[in-house]
Amino acid sequence: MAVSILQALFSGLALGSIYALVALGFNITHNTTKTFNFGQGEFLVAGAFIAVSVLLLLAGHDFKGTLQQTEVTLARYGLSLLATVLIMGLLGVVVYYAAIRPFIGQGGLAWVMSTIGFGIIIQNIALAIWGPSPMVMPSPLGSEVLRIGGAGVLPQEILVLCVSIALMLCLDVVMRKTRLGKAVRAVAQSSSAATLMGINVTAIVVLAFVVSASLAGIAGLLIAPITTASVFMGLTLALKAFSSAIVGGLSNPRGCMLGGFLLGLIEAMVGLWHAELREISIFLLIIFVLVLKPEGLLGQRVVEKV
Amino acid sequence: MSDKPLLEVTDLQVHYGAVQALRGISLEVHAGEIVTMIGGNGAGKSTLMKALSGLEPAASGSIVFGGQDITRLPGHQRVALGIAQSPEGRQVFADQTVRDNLILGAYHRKVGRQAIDADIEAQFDAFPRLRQRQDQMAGTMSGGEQQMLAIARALMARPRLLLLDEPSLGLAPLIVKEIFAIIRGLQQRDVTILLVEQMANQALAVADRAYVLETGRITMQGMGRALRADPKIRAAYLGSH
Amino acid sequence: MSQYKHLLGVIAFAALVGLVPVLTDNGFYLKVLFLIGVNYLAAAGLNVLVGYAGQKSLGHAGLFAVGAYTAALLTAKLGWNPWLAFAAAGVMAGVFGVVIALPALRVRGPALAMVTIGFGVVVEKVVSEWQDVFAGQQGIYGVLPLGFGGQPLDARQWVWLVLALGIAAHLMLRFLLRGKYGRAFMAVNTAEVAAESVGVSVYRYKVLAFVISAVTCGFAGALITQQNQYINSDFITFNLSVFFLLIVLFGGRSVYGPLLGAVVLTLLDAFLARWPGVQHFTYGALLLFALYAMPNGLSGALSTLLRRFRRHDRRAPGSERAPIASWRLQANGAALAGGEVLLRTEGLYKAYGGVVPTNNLDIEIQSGHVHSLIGPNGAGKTTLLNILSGIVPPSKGSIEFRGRSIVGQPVYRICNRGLGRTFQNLKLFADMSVIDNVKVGLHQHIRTGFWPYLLGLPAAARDEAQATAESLQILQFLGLQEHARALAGSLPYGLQRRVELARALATRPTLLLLDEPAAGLNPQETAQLVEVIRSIRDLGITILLIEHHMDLVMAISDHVIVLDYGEKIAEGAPAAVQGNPRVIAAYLGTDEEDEEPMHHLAPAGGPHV
Repeated sequence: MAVSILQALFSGLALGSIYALVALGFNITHNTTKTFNFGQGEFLVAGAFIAVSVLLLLAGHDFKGTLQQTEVTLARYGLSLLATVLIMGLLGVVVYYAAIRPFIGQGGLAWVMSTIGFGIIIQNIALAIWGPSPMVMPSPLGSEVLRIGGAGVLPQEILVLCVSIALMLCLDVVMRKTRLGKAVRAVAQSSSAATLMGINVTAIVVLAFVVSASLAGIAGLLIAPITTASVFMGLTLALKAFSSAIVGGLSNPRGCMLGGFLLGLIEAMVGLWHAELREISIFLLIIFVLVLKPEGLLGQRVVEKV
Repeated sequence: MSDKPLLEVTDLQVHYGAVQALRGISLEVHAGEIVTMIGGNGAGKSTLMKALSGLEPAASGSIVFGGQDITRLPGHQRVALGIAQSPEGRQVFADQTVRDNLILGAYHRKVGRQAIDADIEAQFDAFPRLRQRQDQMAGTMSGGEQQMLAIARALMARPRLLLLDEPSLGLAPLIVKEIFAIIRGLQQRDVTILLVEQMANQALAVADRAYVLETGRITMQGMGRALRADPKIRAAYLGSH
Repeated sequence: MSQYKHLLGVIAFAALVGLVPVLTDNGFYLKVLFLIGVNYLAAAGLNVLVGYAGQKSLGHAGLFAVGAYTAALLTAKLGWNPWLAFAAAGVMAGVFGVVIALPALRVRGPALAMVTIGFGVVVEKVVSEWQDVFAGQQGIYGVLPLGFGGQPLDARQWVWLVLALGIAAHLMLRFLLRGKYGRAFMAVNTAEVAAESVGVSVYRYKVLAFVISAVTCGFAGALITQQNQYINSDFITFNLSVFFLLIVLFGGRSVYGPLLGAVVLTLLDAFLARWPGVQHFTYGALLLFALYAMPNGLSGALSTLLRRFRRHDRRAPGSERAPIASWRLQANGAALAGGEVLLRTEGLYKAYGGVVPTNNLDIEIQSGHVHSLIGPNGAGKTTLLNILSGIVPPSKGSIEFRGRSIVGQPVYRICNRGLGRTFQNLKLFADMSVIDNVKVGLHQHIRTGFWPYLLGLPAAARDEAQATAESLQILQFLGLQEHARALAGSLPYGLQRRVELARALATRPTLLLLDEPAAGLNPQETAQLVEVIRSIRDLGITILLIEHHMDLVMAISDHVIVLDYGEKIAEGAPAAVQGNPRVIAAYLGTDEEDEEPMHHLAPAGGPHV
């Protein structure tokens, strides 16, 4: 019993760190522009598939095919991560100019629909390129199960956890200690005051979208080896990531991270007990949080100016 | 002593939503002066400040700074040219420390960490209370301290022209006195100031020259002390008897 | 369009479409017609939610599923009569409509959209994974179809049934949307705070919109299930929700939008059915296209085109040319004698973090008088108005309005009690006509309820006519009657302010709060405003106004209250207040030379230093 709980703990944390990464993506764009990319799930999928193709190309194959375990080395994995970040970053710029900027400040929620539309287009392009069947990405650390305290843990799960935490710490440090991070927080607080400091608000906002898209792509790349990575997995993952943001507080980056881990753990634990109740339990959690503290655990109440 | 004005605004018109907030404003500020624009609420004072800093677009007219036409220049680029503002309501970055706010004030300057730190020290010398609170979150300070921070933050940009938008807003009279003393002190440090204010008495006492703004138009202008005695000033605020 | 012309049009349409199954036997065409009808049903209801009430929902596949599976389970597993099951499907979907609307109380905008997606996904998971009940991908067989005398409907009869249902839905929704409900939905969409302040309960109307859309979606689901005699979880996907939303967005908000959208998209869907990848891609692209190029949808684009041709064909003047009676304010409850205390606050206090905009205020408003609230910028005047109208709750203190406490009451209820207001930053329903704006103000006084409106009963028509008459009277009172049909947002600024005033008057207030009514007005308009305020007072309405235009204040006020730092520093007749040295100092600041000892000017409490 304890063993399965421990196992669930590990996979829950790994999964949760993925949610946290994507939730952070929501947080960054929402703080700076009061919008976010509803197609974030598709970005995650795109990231995973781009990574697989890069790995295939590095192994000398066609960009579509099946990867062998031996062909996925840590170095190549790192290279594919770089490629993913580059391409997804570009996509982030595109989604900002195509789907967000034309509709900002119009009131209404046109940007919600435009980002959904954009996401659908991305999904179908991916479908056209890679087809509907799941892509196999072997983990660079192999598929041998490690035994920690009796529980079976995939090395990829540990990799996911480490990379995610490293990324989150990195972002946290950048936001708090660097000049750029301070500028981003300034834009989030007040874009007019930020302009008065000489900060190019548009450039910062574009950067926010680039980072957000890259985070989603990296999340996809990390999770691909431990899940069935199909073109259709994006929506559920994005929803759970968004739920994490709601639970932890959309406006607070640390809240988003906390929410992600919390959700991952709860999902794993409930999955132990009644597998089919996993999604419903998350949904119920959201309702619970919304009723008691709508701004999230670490979020702050927004007072509307009249 | 320069003849060419540092800032020259000609026939500026600005719309604020559906309203025409500025209906053709012309003014000038010479280097080393303190010029004040006074007027009641809704006169358009803050709109003028926003237009000068590029936060609101000009519908027509021109803004020339240091001989350069900046009317269409994006706001963030005007800071590099030498215009900095302490905006209405202070707008300090509440979730960042005093020190971080000051660092942000120098954002456009491409100098190293040491130069910035040296400037921060200089600001702390001028505003000792800020040194006491340098690691405190700006949002937790009092109104008066936030106003000091906003001014210091604007000075961090090493501006040629400092715009002050209603520094007395919401502050207790004692604090307002302190702030105006600070403003007077700034002039001795050779900072050119355009001050927009609701508190006519104090503003006119500290200014070299003054303009009066009423519903988007300049209705009076002259030397500060002279205007102060003019009964029309009082009428502009409290209505005629 | 007059009622008769419209009815004729509907009959003609019904005849045309009804003729098709007579002329052809082609199963494919009949199936497509059937699907158009089903999609129309779903979209017509969703249009109320998305187009009128402005709540973007992406979970309606879930409501479709509720209707579908209710019909399936009731007939296949419990042997219910298929017609009863059909009705039950609609009811069940309505119940779930309430469920999906509950979060609307706590979240708005994008977060709400996410929650609706979540709802849809959860339903999808439930029906695909809870095998025992819903049989997942295998599906439920043996669903009893609708039929007469034991015979299931054939392909042609399904088309006729769907046609009849579609027409019924169209007529009912049209009645509903043209009247007070449609206006209320649009008001909630455009300016929630303003809607609440004129007596519309925003939450109630959001829930209603969700329920209406849920019911039609549920019926759509039941129709599909009972026609196929089968349902499985493959039908229920996010793409279905997107498809429904796309129909609504593509078609446009008007009453005909869902029809246009349903026709175009069903045909497209059928045409592309062979290539599902292209199908979905097209939806994504169409979504973006609709947002960029046709923000008002196909119906909006078409009506703009038509308007260009009909430019000279003005609306028949008719009732507007007829003399309009002058407006008599109908008293809201027992009238108070002049001079009695209408509103009293005691110890009113509000603190936000370190700021105290309202500090221990004791204020009395006497009925029949014009009171002005003045003070320098940041003195807390608008905060006081927000507290009185219920938008902001006070931290401490009491407010009694007409003898009853209003602290903690929802905004719309305070309006019901007779307190109306206007806003400093205009909050008009900009894309509704001027007269519709005023009619929203009358909302709480229109007594006819939901069912008479839905069924187009004479009571509703009577109330609408009365509302139109009274709105015209109010517009005439303010000199706006020529602009009755104009779009509120298209008027010049000064007139827009007057429209907001008209809207507030329509709530038949006992006490009217005006927040800077002269802001942005030129001197001529300000002079007119003085007259307007006088005539409002002469009607018997008590007024409390915030202003900076001193000339206005002095000319119009019976009583002036001066605030500074959230406290009352002076009050009395205008002239007395004008000469009060404390007031002068508060506005102009102190003089350097004649320095008075500072301590007696410092505020009593609150952290200002």
